[in-house]
Amino acid sequence: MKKKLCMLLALLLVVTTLGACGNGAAPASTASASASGGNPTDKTPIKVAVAGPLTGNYSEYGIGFDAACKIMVDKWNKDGGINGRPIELLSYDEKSSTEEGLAIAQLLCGEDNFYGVVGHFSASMAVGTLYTEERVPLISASSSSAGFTGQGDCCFRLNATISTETMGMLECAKTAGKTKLGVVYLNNDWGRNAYDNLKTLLQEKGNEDWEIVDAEEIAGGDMDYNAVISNLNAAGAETAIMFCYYDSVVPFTIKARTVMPDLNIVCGVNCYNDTFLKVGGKDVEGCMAPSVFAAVSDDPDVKYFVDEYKARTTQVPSSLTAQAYDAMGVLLTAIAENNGELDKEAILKSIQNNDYKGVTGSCSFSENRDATRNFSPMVVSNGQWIYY
Amino acid sequence: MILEVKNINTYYENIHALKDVSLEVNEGEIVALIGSNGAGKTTTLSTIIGIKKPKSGEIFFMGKNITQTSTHEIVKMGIGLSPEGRLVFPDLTVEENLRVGAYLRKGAEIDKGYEYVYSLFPRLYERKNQASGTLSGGEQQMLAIGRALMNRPKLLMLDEPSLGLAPNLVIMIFKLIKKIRDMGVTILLIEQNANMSLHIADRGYVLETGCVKLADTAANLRNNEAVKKAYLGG
Amino acid sequence: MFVEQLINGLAIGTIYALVAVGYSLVFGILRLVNFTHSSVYTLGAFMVYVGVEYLHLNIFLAILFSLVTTGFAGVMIDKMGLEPLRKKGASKISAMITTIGLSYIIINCLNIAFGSQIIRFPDLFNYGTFKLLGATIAWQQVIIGAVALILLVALSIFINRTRIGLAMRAVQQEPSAAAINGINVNMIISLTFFLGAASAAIAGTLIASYNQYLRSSMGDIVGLKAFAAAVLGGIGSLPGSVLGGLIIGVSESMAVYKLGGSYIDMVAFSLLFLVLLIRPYGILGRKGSTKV
Repeated sequence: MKKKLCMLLALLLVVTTLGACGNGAAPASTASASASGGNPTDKTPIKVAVAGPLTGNYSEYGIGFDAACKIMVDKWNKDGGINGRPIELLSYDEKSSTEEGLAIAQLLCGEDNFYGVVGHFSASMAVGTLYTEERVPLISASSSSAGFTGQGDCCFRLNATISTETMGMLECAKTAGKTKLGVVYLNNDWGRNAYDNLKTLLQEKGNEDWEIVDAEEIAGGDMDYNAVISNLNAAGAETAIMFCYYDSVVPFTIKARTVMPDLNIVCGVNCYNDTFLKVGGKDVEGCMAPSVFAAVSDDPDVKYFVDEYKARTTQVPSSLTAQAYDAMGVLLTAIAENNGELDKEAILKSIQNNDYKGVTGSCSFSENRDATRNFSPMVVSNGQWIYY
Repeated sequence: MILEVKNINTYYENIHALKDVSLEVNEGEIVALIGSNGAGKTTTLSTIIGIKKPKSGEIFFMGKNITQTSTHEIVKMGIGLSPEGRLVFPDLTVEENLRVGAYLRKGAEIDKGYEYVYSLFPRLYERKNQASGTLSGGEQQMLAIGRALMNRPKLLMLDEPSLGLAPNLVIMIFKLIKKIRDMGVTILLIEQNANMSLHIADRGYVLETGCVKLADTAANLRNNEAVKKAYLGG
Repeated sequence: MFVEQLINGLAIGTIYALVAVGYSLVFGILRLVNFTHSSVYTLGAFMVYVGVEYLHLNIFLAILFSLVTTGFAGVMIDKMGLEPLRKKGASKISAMITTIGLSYIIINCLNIAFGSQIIRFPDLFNYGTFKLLGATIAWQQVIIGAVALILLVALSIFINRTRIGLAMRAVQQEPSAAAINGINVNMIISLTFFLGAASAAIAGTLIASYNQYLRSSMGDIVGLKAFAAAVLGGIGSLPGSVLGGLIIGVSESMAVYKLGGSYIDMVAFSLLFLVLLIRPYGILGRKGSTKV
């Protein structure tokens, strides 16, 4: 019986791995490696990758990254690629799993003619060292953990650090005039870090503008939020600061509307997406979030991206998706900048020193490879995110 | 002839449990099947009632071929079985057990069934609201027989009804079996207690390692030297 | 505050109970832990969604549609996946692994058809809130608790007071004796799967309506907790499942109240562990007739 079980497990493993490969767009035919990139007759594709959760609880994010990067790569290919060489986008499903993400990183590091990755979601904190060892640039569109860029000098972050984002959230609460905070945070690294960070921020500010009246650590996902809401209600919270993903924020908000109709709900930038609006419906009206991206903007670059994205996915791009779009833009610009000299160190240097202007604003990086982001308070009104 | 078994062969995986077994039961008879442990007595009953399907051979009940009929259909046609080890439903009360026995009956028939069984076994009436798992062995045996009678079978098969009972109870059970037959139910009886069963039976079959070795009237079997030696204690 | 949390716990607890009963029913009759149950629960909620969104049925017809299709799916799980194994005399562990596999197949099919993201689900009973002993209580909670309770009572009457229910109990206790009394055992097993699946479908629908959304992973944690509830109460025992569900529901909300929300998933299993140390057969389980 044990033998049978083992075989079954082995079979499962094989199936999952095959599944992962099937989702990738890696063609075996381009294996003929050519190290010299300067030859203008060379038509070997330049490979870049996007990795994110295409299935599982966080698939919303990965599907967005994937579509955004495809739009950017298609745009470049339409303009003739890089030095006449086509760009090939490898797309991998991280399946909302750290292990899967790590496996993908290992696969990618073995690719020829491969120059960088946009993304990772669940595995962001696990893959950085590996990419750095292999000198592969990794630009995250979503990570906000303090330690992400500390994994190595190949890890760049186009997302705001947790402090910047938290400040943006606090500003939202202040703008709405509801400063008694009930903090709801996920019981993972990110959620706990965010909460600790908030406490530190408030101490620095001398606790003047805001007051934390309650803090609730949650398991997230499909739990019953009523028990948490009862606690917030009893503590007299005016604003709920949500350090959790939209799949917790939406159910929380729906429940909160019944028991605490006046609660101001401020979520992170990860809630700036279409699914949040669609699933939340009337219940998420009035929810606030800080964002670096506004799909309602008149900027032509933003319009191109939003229209293209809508045409392909019938959805409005999220803030993180827009960052993934810019991240791919930064990566491709850096590869192109070196006159076809496909030297990894040179590309890394170009990324570090970029002056790229994307749909989320300036994408320049600080010395420790964090982007400086400018937040505006946004609010849900009539089913879309608008400036508050 | 109410039951006719023709050359059945039944297997448990690779074990050939019944080898060309044939037997007949006439209406109103008590027929005894005797044999030692593992001779195939219980398998014969299981095959008749359809729990085991024979690989070959045929079984006729009141002229109908029931070889491939499912158990619940066979029960519906009028064969009842009081199984080896009684198999009462331990968490059901006595009355609920009887109610299961009358599963295929409706309304007034069920009440009549209770009356019939309680008149045969007044003891069960006294215990009717008791969980049957708490009954004594003898009472459980009465319940198993009573349960099989609830469906008013034409043929009642009894598998070791005296097993594990005190001698006075054994006598009582055998008296009851006769009484049931006198009320018009044909009986096919399995017993290790060959002596007793051949006393109340009209005819008997001796099974040995899955084969019918002897078939005769009960009186003749009682006087058969080989039977005496093997089953009647010399 | 205490009252509020108690009501929160009882509301979710009755749902656990309704799911736990399904585990118990099938376990009682086949001595098999049916791991497809959590996916059937999810399927039930999705079938209501299909009824409303694609077949444009009104909500009651959609629930009826879900009961029938999900119940039938439960029967098919047994007929196609488990009955052939029983006929071949396969071991219990093979049957259990089969149910785990089938569960993945069902969830994968739902993923392919509907994606893995959150889908909005109609709110069937949003009638606002009311005050009781100073606590704010949502009508929603009272209603889902009541619906689940009524169903549990109905199920219990069905099993304890009807002819078919008697046959189910008979098959549970002595399948071979049930057959020789004229009970069609395979039919009773199918019926049990139907009842288990249909009650899971209702539980799934209630939760989806309570949360106002559904997704393919919604059954994962509820399924495990309901299984814990069934074992805690004594698997195979109907009152045990109900008691187990309520205990887990209330202790979860009390844990949130006293310890914080991240303890919520730990409570069920810690309780299970403790209770099984003292009573290996669960609170109302009995030695012999009901062992895991």
